[in-house]
Amino acid sequence: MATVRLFAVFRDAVGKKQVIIPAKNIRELIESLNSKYEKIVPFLTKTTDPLVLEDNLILVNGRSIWFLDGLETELKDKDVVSILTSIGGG
Amino acid sequence: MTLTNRELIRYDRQINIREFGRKGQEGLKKAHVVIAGAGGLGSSVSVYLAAAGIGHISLIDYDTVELSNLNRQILHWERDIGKSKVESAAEKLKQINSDIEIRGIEEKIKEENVLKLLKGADVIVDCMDNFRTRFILNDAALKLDIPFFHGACYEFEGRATTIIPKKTPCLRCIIPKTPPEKKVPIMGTTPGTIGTIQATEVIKFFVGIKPLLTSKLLIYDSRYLTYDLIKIERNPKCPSCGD
Repeated sequence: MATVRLFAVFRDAVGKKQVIIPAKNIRELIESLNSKYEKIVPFLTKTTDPLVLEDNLILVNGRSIWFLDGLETELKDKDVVSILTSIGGG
Repeated sequence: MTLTNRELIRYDRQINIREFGRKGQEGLKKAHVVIAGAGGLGSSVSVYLAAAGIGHISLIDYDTVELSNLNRQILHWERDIGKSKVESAAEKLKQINSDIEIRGIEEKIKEENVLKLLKGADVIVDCMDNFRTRFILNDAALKLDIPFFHGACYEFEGRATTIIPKKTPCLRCIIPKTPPEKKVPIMGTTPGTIGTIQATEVIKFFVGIKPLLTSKLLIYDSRYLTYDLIKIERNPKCPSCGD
């Protein structure tokens, strides 16, 4: 059971800033979010394409999955997954 | 570096803060801060750092003021449209505080000139509007071993973190791949809030007040009026700061 913290568009889509999702890895977690929350799909389907990971940030316990095992990054109980977009405006 | 009578009066309210004192104010007077970008974030960062008495401020931007900047770039006014941003900003900052040195540098930050532009800087404040330049500054801060105060905005959301080279995660640890550039919608007040947070961090850094936003990413959402902190970790495999 990973705790998922959602920010900005992801929070808007789910209507909550935090949800608990049972998932073995990030790929399963994204599939689960997509099937549970229809409005998140346009933002998260992109994420399943490894090339587009660069548009969103997924951190597991504060580390980008880019430096872990990408979508195959395993999740353990009490892991905290943060889902954000990359933002660079000023 | 001693303070003049005028400075003792001018900064009295902050000198009287616990942990601040004359020594803290002297620390600000000695400091050289480079503010990269004179847009939305740069406006609020530079106003507060000038008002706080940072002794030397260099403001870098190559752009000119446009009408579409005015919803958030509060240092630039209608009469400044078409003028260089650093000229427009420096003119107002000198009126806010004539006791400090303010230098406007009208140049585009590139890999080839970044080290020259940052010469003598104690810290860099990241007020850019694009990822490419943010990463050039991130890598330069690591190379020069100076703190880098990151801030960014999109729509209602703003983020900030304080990067201390080799001690905290760098920007590349958080954003491993440079995202595609796109036109950024921004609620005008968001860079005001984030810039104020960046300026707060800079002041605290020079005075020695802890904790800073190190190894933490602050996320402000002005839609919900919430602040969240994400604990972030250095990535040993980071191409910019990894081992």
